[in-house]
Amino acid sequence: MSQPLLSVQNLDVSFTFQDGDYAALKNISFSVYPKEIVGIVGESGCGKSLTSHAILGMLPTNAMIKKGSIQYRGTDLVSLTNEEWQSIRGSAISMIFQEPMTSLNPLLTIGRQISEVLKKHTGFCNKEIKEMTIALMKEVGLPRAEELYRAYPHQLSGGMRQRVVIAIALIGEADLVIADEPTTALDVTIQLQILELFRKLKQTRNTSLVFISHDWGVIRKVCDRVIVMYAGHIVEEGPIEEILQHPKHPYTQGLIQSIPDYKKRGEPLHTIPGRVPALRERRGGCPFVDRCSLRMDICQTTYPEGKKHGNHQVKCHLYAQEAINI
Amino acid sequence: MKKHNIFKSIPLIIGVSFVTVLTIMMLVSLFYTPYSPNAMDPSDRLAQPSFTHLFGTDNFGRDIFSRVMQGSQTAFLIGFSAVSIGLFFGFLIGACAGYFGGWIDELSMRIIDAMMALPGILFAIMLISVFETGIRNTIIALGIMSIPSFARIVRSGFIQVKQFDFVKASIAKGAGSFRIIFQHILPNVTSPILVAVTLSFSGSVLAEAGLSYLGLGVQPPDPSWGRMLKEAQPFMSTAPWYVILTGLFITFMVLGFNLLSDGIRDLQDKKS
Amino acid sequence: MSTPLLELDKVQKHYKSNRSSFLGKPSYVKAVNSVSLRLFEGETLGLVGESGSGKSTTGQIIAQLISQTSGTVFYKGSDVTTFTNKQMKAWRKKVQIVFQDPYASLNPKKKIEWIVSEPLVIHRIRTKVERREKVVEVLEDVGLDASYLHRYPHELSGGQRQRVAIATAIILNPEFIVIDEGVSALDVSVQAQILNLLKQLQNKYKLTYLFISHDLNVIQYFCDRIAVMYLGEIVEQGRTDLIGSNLKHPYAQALFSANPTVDENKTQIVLGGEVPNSGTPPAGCPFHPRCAKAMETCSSFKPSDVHLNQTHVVRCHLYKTIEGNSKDTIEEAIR
Repeated sequence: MSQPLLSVQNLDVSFTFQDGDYAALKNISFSVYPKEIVGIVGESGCGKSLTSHAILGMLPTNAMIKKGSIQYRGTDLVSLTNEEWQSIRGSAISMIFQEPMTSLNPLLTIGRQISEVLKKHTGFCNKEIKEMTIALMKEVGLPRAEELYRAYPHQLSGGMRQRVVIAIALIGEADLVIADEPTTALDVTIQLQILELFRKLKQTRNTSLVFISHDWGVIRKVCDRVIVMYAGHIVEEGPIEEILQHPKHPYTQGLIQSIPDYKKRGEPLHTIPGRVPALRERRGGCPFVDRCSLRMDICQTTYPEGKKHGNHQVKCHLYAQEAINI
Repeated sequence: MKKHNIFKSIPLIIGVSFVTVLTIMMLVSLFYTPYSPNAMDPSDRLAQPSFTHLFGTDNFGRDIFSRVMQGSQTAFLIGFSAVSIGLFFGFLIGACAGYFGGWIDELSMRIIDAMMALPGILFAIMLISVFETGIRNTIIALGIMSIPSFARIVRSGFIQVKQFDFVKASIAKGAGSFRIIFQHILPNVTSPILVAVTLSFSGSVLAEAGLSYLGLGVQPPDPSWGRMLKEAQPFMSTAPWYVILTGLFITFMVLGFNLLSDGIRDLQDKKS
Repeated sequence: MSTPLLELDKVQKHYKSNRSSFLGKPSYVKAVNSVSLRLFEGETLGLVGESGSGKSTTGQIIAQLISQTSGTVFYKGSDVTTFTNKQMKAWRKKVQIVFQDPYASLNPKKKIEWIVSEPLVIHRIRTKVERREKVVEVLEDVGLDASYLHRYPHELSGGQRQRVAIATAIILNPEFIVIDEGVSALDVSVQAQILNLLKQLQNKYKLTYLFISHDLNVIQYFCDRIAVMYLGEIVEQGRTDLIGSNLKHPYAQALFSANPTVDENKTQIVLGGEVPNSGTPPAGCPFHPRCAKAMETCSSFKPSDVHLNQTHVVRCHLYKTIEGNSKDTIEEAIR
């Protein structure tokens, strides 16, 4: 396999409160390869967004990286200064947020917001910049690009705004885009348009994408590989179809079974008892132990090692014997 | 957790301590002042601060500390009464406008706009000069002056809370307007109202001092900080403590209530 | 057919929108446009649509939180819109609504006991002691217990709050509950818990639900019948098993095909364009600018309801009712 574009190794992130430090991310390791869409899925409070913010060096002020490394094309991002990190954001790695309205400046025209990066980081003249911007606007499916270049965000619908946000993320020729629930605020029919656009951009621009979502259907539609997170840990990782058809971790199994659909009509849905433990309630052992119906004694005390089954990896004591240790 | 927050807010601590000290002083003055506030002693005029006269004496030989204590009664009385008038009518207008909306809202807000277009202090001067000077009319004038700000705050609070789902859910369960206003909306708009109350209190104290300084507010023999300031003015060079100490108390009062309102606002920001 | 529990007859809701100029004529936003619906006892009707389709407005008209511009709401055959205040208050005991956001649907300044017992207080039912017993009973019904009585909403998780909201809705023993995006703000595993709870309560208390949601997976799992809304109109309604291959309206077909699922591969219809602003709806069929099968008539004439069979109604020019068989037509005629 080729070199990974992004490689996160043993990343720990903690929040500092008045009464001490609490680990919010533990032992996060994963890689993103060129031209790959990796999904991160999990319920709220499991650390999906925090992971993406750590990669971009945008952690909240009371959070910090305790250990581990984040390598982009072989450069360790953790040791970068703020200025260096800033130059990577927007040009090499960029971000798309859930709510397109709040990530656009209501007082600036669409064209100006998309072309801002070009003006700052390149030596093109204004005419060239405008041409490039309009070309990109057409590429992300914005109709009447010349006209919209001078429009303001409030004149656009939700789906068009999200296309603008995507254009902003792509204008600096970023090869890694991190999208945090980019379609959650959109209607189903518009969501499909945007998901199709992501797949197309992967083909035409070779962009890699980290796609964060709580929606398995959306993840399945766009991702090649998926990472399942629970309470600040990666519990399972593998190709999306493989995980959906043969989930190994009891949490993944529970999550997938609890998705309602037509075939489950008339019977109660599978539920996972309890809820995701709050930051202060987390302790040693397997993070899922309190809600797991298959728990054993060892789960209370020992954190499970990652086991590889081909390209499918799971962290659960149930699979301790059968697989090869990494 | 809650206690923790209160002690973390420095403006709140200072505000609360200023207001507490002044309140205690006012309460004590109801029963006891070192000297009678109006007792003159021609032999001991413009005396410097000493152990016999803590803040010295004025040009008639009256004990300034006793008069400052007595004056705090007036300040509190005027602040409290003016705020009560403003809050009562402001709440009534604001609540009706915000809750019922439509033409009631439109009409009352235009009236409030008209009131706001008139500078408050000018309005008070006009009112007092048409009727007569004295504590009662000062209170009424200051009270009317503070109605618009209360009405606006209450109205915007009501409009905001009215559209929350829990209000709709309660209506769907059959709750009447009375219940919606007092059980659901009111408890959720108390913090902004409290901020307005403290701010308006200090505003009224300051306005009273200003009016009395101009001779339009409280009339002798009722003691007032504003008038004391005016009386002290001619002796600024010979007895500077008179001006300074009186002015200091006005400052304490206004600052105390302003900091208090800042502190309350901080607390409520932290909660949300 | 028996009398429906609830019936909407050509209900419309128009809002006055901002005038374009000071002296100009005010224009109207047709949030709900000629909606007719029937709900029978014990069933669950799913109302589906994208944002701006008017599904929430319809739900709030049913709960009479907003009044309709025209049309009628019948409950057990009597016209709700003509009720006196007293009749209305009695009727409100039977019809409840549960909202989407469990953080906004509970008064943050009140404890759980106060919140859950409020409906009893409003209707002056029982004494204080008896009320507490009933509150505990209802809390247990929704999977909570007496230890929650003295807590505030902010001490509860999203799922627990939604359980409390459901408790307040069932404490008066209602017959009908409007669930307005009631599980949309919850995580999948919690959502499953709440859906199971709603099903249990429906069986236990013979409840009828109007289930409003944009989540097509939930609708397909939970509802007996569905009604699809687009720009204030119900474009198709019928039994849930139509979904798959028997939906007729091009919008309903596209909507359900666009829904990403975890276990099937289907051809997805990618709709062009976006939902138009409901202030300036297109003439004729509201869907025609995005419709792949649009014909000439679609842009000029509004389609009327076509009854394909007893339960299946579609509002589209592609289909027509066979003469004389208006409501009971079983065959469909495709042009």
